[in-house]
Amino acid sequence: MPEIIVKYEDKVIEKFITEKKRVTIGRTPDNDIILDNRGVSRRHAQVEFGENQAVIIDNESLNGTFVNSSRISEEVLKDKDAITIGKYTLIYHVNAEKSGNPFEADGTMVLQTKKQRELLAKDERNRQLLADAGSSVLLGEAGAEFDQFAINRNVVTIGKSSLANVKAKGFFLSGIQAKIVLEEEGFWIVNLGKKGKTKINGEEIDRYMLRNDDIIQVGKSVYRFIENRL
Amino acid sequence: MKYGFFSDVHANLEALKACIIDFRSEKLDKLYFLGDAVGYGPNPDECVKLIDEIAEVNLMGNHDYAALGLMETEYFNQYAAESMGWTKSSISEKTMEIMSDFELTHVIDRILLVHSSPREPENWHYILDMEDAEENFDFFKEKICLLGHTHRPYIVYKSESEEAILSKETEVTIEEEYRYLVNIGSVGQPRDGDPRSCYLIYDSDTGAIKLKRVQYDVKSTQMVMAKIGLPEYLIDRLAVGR
Repeated sequence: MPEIIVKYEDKVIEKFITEKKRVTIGRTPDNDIILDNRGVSRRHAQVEFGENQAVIIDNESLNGTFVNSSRISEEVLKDKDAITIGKYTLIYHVNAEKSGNPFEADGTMVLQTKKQRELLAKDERNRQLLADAGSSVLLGEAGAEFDQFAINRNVVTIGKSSLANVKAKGFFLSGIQAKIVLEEEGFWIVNLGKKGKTKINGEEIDRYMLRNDDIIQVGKSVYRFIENRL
Repeated sequence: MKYGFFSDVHANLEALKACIIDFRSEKLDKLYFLGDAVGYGPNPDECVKLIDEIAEVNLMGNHDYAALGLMETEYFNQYAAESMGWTKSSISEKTMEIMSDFELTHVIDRILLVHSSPREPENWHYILDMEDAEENFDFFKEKICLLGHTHRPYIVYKSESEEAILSKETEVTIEEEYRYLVNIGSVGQPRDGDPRSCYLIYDSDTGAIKLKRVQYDVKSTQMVMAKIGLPEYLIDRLAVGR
């Protein structure tokens, strides 16, 4: 059964497990998931559950609905997608996890529009970036030799070698430590070299499907992945 | 110092083992591998492990690069693509890890090592005639450039003022006025009509370079290839060295 975990500033405030075909999200009490905050529209968004997929639809809300930091109007949800509405984060799971206390906070909220503004500004920057690049983009963060790198080919190699498209730094890094490959469903990152040298959002990976706003760390070099959805 | 340079093993373990025995009997001080450890042949994991153990430096070949999933095999011929499909599905993670450290070029003792061509090492060009050879002299500054890739050994030398010359010998002594472009042949799939493995010995004390041939048990390799079901054409060509 699908599950939506509602978080407020990293605290789980509700775990919503449902068999319904439609789950509404909004500020007023007639919604299935009530986000009691003025930054949230009365009928902000809804999730429609089909045979094999779930789709989130933004009801032209004032402050927007974000999936993995991109503003969306309608988006197919993937397992573990992070939906941001106001200062709430809703994590979608295809299948509910068994354990956990569904109520961990008392639900008292403080209106906070700064995060909202930051998200909107960031989304606007990313849109501009993607429009300029015409492809998905890597943003150089720590230890990168570029500010941005357009992923305009099927394979991008990352490592120390002169063969690597993206030069990464770090001790004991392999010549070609990792590759980003375009497959049917999207971009995957695969660790090719020494174990444990490729991390996504802090976790070591062998193979991983990249999502928008993921932080890629290869050795000491850090990049942010911005997915082209245009 | 006596150096051994070998290339294009192409997962032919029998050929590699025979060469290693010869390396020992030649008392070589240092060994260098010039790329294409895998592809075509039946023992990629074993060959990569052995090469990594014996060689000071390993270069990246186009088949190694393809096996890592870093390039499309659409410009590979049908048989190469078929065997690459098998190679990719059979190699271990450890093999991938070793190959991901293979270098594109390397320089030792006034010698440039590269798999395909000094002009654009990463584009895997073939040097197929004297015109290609002549042109490539402009793309290295070292005394000698050693390469593999075409599986056909040759020694070409050139002075500043004259056109490049193809040596008729398989053994020459380095001379002051010339620079050298040498294809060191292939261990695992020779294509010059001689089915024996080929590698190069360079003695830096005497300045002698020598293309060395080594007999190996072709039939053993062919049997393992047949067992796996690798393309017949690739099995047959080993016996004739074409």
